[in-house]
Amino acid sequence: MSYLTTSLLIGFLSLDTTIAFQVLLSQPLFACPLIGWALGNPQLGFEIGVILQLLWISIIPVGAISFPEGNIASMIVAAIVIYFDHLGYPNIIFTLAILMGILASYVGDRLTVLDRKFNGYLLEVALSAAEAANLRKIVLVDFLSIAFYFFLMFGFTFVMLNVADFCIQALMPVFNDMLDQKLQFVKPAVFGIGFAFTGKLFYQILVKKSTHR
Amino acid sequence: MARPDSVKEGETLAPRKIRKWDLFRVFLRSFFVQSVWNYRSLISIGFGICLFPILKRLYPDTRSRKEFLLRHLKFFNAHPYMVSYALGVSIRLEEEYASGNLQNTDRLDRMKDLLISILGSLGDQIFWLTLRPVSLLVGAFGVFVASTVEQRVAVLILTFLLYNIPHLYLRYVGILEGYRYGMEIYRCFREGRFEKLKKGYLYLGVAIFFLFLGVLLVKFKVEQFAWIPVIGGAAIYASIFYKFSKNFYFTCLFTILFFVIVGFIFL
Repeated sequence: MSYLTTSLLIGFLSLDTTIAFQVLLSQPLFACPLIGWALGNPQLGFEIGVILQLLWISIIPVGAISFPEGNIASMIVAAIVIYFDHLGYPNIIFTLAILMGILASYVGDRLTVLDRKFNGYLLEVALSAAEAANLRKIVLVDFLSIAFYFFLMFGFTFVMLNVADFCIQALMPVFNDMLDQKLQFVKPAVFGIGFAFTGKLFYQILVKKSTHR
Repeated sequence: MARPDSVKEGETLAPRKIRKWDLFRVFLRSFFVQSVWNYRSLISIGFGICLFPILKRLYPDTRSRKEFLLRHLKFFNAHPYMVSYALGVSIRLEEEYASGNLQNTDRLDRMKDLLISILGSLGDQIFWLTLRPVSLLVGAFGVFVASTVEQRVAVLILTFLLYNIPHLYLRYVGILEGYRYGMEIYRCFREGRFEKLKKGYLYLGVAIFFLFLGVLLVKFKVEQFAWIPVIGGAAIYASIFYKFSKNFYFTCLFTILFFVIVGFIFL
């Protein structure tokens, strides 16, 4: 499966985050195995999905706040790890992928803000359509907004996958078994961070009874 | 907003009844309620579009349609699932207004304003803070424990149902109840109505969290013993770092960096 088709799949799945449905399909636990399936390695997709789900489980998409876009980031991480699994350096690839994933979650957040600003422009169009009681135009605005978000996430994923490809190709000469061995703590560390955030979330709900935002 | 000119004071229009099919169409559209989320009117466009089947049913003339659209494109926000209650109430009041049983739409506007905080808070508490993290944690635990792809797929299906049965139920029932109760919607939010659901999931979540930790210890003790102190250390390091930095990105980056250094020193 090419980067283009993978990006299309990720762009489509990312709609589930806030734009449409919101039935968990974009969550790492579901999205990573789906990407694993598409790329021919569902087991690795499941493994990445569990680790990253814990990491981003406490991120709550409440109202107007901006939050790390863990879903798109997880999908990008899963795709990178599965694409480069054949190199035989799982720890190096995972480390690079998770670093890119953290960057992706930040950029994804900024892109969501951009999308919401663009939607502010669409509101003007919708209001003028409402003045003319033009229902079709308002529906068109809706489709345009969904399409904009889709292409934003699709394009972003496509760029990230190509950047990852470039970085990994460029760094290939320094990859070796010893380096891979030294990076073997990264995966359990990410697991640990996930447990810390998950524990914190339950602690807040049970003990503090406050809203985690 | 005043009634249209064509309707005289005290006059009752021929009743225009909403059908159940209309409510179901609103339900289907509600999956896209947040699609045009923006900083000025939040979810109002999605909310308005959800009500299009009602608009078409109740208002045949352009002027009424225009007023309807401008009414619902005003600022509005709610939790994307619990918004169904606001949709139901709006449908009921619009129906009354179109039939002449409601003199103006001020009550509808006020009601929607009131529902913003109630539905937002309820939805956040029930879904974002309880059902979603608990369902995902149960799913993560199940996938972690399961060994074959088939078992893991079964776990994902169960997780999907664990979350989406209450989600879809409240999304649909919210429209029906909102439509049924109208201005008396507060009866749906009586004290403790959602408490059982919330508490049940919460206890399940806490139990699974500790079970997950226990299974993790047993599994890695046999397979990858070195992972246990790293997971524990990373959890403590990340908790402390986050307490002071309050920054998700830095917490992740510096914890990973710390364990990269640890790996270089000890391996």
